[in-house]
Amino acid sequence: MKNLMKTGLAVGLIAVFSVATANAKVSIGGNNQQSVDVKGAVSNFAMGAGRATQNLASNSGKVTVGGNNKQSVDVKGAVSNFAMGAGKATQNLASNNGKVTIGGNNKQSVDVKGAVSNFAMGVGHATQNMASNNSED
Amino acid sequence: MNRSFYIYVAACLFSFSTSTFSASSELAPRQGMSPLDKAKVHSVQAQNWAKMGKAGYDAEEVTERTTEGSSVSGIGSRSCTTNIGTTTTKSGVSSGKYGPSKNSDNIVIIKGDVVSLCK
Repeated sequence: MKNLMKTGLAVGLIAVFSVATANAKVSIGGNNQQSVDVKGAVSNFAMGAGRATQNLASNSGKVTVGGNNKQSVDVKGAVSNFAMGAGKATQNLASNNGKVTIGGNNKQSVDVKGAVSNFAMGVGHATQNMASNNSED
Repeated sequence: MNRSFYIYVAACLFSFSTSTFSASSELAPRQGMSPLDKAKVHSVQAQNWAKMGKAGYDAEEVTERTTEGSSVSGIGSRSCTTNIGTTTTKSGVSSGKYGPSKNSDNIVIIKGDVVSLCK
């Protein structure tokens, strides 16, 4: 009975999670403008079996922009992304990832005054996108 | 007279050949940005300067569209991917469906080093 409850709870959580992710949809009829100005550094760490995702002025998932799209990120310091152990670190700056549709013109700009680093150690996965577009099925 | 003439011609040819080789000694000469790309970079920087209220900037601009990274497929492997100013469209049913459909400007200005390391 206890095991059945645990199983039921786990399935329920999975169902809730999948429903939540399936419904994650953003639709913008007009123009879209996103800008981020960082005076210091930007860093993203995933350690152990952790997962760290960082989005700055980015569209991720199922996003529809009817008009023009403008994304800009200005960082005065360095930008770093680390995945250690079995961690998964994803960092997006002024990027579009996933099922992103843009009807109008698109402008993406990133200005970094410092260094840009992307590290994967152990069996980690580090993905870093800057002013990039990555579509997926 | 003839011998000195031949020596003179040989000297001229030698100096010409050495000057040609020295000019092309750079295997991958750095190419500057086109006026259009330069204008785009200046536009982005001008917007940032306007935000900062700062007028001067002295570093050299570098714009690149690159994909850097290395990965090893399989379970228990590491991967690091750096996409800078790139547009990647996966093949499949939805190929060409997502992403920018019209004009797309991707401008990246990095003053420091770009490091991608899988260790």
